[in-house]
Amino acid sequence: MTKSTAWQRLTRRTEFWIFLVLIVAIVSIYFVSNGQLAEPNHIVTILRAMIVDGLLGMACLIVIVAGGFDLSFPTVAACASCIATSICVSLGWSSTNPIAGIILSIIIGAILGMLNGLLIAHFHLNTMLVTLSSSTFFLGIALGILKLREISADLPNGLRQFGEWSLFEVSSSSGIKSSMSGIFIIYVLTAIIVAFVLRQTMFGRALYSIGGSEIAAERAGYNVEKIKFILYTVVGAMSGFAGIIRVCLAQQAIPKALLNREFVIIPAVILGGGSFFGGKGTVFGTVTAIALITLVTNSMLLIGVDSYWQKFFNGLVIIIGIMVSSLQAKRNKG
Amino acid sequence: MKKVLALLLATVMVLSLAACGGSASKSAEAAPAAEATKEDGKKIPVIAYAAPVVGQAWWDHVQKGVEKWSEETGIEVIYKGPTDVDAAAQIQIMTDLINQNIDVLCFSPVDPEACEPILAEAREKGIIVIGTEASTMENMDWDVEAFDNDGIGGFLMKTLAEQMGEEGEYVTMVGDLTNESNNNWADSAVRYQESNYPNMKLIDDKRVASNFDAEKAYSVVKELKQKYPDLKGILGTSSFDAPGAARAIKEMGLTGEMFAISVAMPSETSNYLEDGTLKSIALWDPALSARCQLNAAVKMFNGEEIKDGTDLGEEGYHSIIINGKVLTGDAAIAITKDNYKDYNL
Repeated sequence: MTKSTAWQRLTRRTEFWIFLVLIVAIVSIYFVSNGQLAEPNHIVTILRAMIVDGLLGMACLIVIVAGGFDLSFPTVAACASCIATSICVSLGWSSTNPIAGIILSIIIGAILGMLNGLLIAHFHLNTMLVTLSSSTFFLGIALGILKLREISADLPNGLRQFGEWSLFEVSSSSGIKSSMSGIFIIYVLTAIIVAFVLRQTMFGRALYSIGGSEIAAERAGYNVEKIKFILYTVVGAMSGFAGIIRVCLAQQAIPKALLNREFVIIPAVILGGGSFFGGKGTVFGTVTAIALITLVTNSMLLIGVDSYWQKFFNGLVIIIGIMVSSLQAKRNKG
Repeated sequence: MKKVLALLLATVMVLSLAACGGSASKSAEAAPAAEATKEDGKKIPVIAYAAPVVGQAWWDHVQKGVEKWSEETGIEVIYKGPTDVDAAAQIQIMTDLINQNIDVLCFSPVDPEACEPILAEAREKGIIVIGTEASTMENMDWDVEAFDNDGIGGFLMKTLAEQMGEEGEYVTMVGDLTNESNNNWADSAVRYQESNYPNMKLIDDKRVASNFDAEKAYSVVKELKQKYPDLKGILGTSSFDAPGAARAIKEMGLTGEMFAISVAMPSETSNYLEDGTLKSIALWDPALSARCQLNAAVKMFNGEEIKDGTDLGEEGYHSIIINGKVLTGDAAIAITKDNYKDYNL
């Protein structure tokens, strides 16, 4: 192979292509919607709508990088946050600030994740089967044993106010106001931290290594079992965090809220350059793919797609994106 | 070792049996004596009410309503339900009840299908069986419903139209585009608008979905308002629609200029009712439905005929409509800032 130029190196990356798709989508939606996409109101709404999916995407990404496959993270997010909110309601916590609720949700998420980690790392069970069954199990605990109900009007004030945290207010040309959620900052920070951990730390390099080849990672001296256990615990904690953020934003704790969200998030991570075979994926790619999906989902009405056709178009975008990614991967090999 | 284990197992089994039978044995104490009669010689029916669950806001409210009915009429009602929403437990309770010489069994099923055999048995024994939220069932005398699709659709439309000043653009929102009842309600709401409010207009995107999620309802309303600056009303159906839409309306600074309604729980919307973002939400009073079940049962027990137009004696049920075995009232109510505290739902 001859020495490749910077441009060649760039175009070989899936992330580059998905970013291009995002730009194309933005430009075309802008024109089809007669410029309404650029209304500050709508931009603010879209940015807000990508927070929860984005946070969940981060959790999903690190599993996929390590060659695993987690189907339980949305359930963990929903269960952890609803259990945490219920505890806060009954003990009167988080009445002035959200800290108690957030920490509780992260801890509960981590505990649920640990269970996944134990089964996967220690008993060497298939990640998909473990998480598929554990998600049913977790939902069963939440609905059956703990009898969690929806919490909305009596949501602790701290969580409510956190969800209403507004950075600034924008107005559209027709005078409608919209506030930019401050929680977006938290999303950006989380993305930066995850990117740092994946690229700069021993743990991050271990994940890529395990995802590439577990045997090779073992030979290279990584304690694969321990790292996998930590991985699923971290994923649980991140899911718990995403869940409680959703509770704050939606001002509602619903045990079934994020059900089946994995069928959007996992394709998004793959779309963003992740691979089902592991060892690949970046925060930039995931963030871009989530942005693309959120943009398309939240602009359907604006560009005049009938409600009944929205799922069709959503699916189409994902299929096209994945085709672009995999064609790209093939070209690299050839 | 094996023996010990067997003994242990047996103990556990006996204990769990005892635990299961707990609720059943309690009801036996309430077994009524012989048929009682009033002073005027009229027979008093022995009535039982099998709720799908006890200890939960909605059914606590029903229980209070039933107790009040007992006080007013002097007829005792044995009110029972499982502590969890559990079809098997409810059937067990029904079985116990019909073995207690009751004349009337009122119920609301956890699982309509699963209740059929035991209710068939009850009717064979000559027990009057009256349900609510059981409109698809066979083995009962009557089913009492607060409203039909047209009733609630028209009510939602009427309430929204009043708030909108009977003019302006509106959209319908459902929990899911495939949800049967939500879509039926929305369809009849639109029909009601077409024949009653000529100055109101359904926007081009006629129906949107909230995915049974207030957050989605919120973002859909914001997107719609972006596309249709004149949009003035959201006619929601699922209980997530009004709260989500209200949050969007409040944030956009359009309280008092844009309106939303849906069927919703007072406990989940009280904050928006208080601050005026929602003028009202639609609901029905389950306690009234239960009282109508009891009233209908007494009528049947006394040999009175129940036909179209019969008065079941409660607000909204003064002239019922019969459709098969279903007695339908016109009992949707608007919950507002002033009365939401009366409904601890």
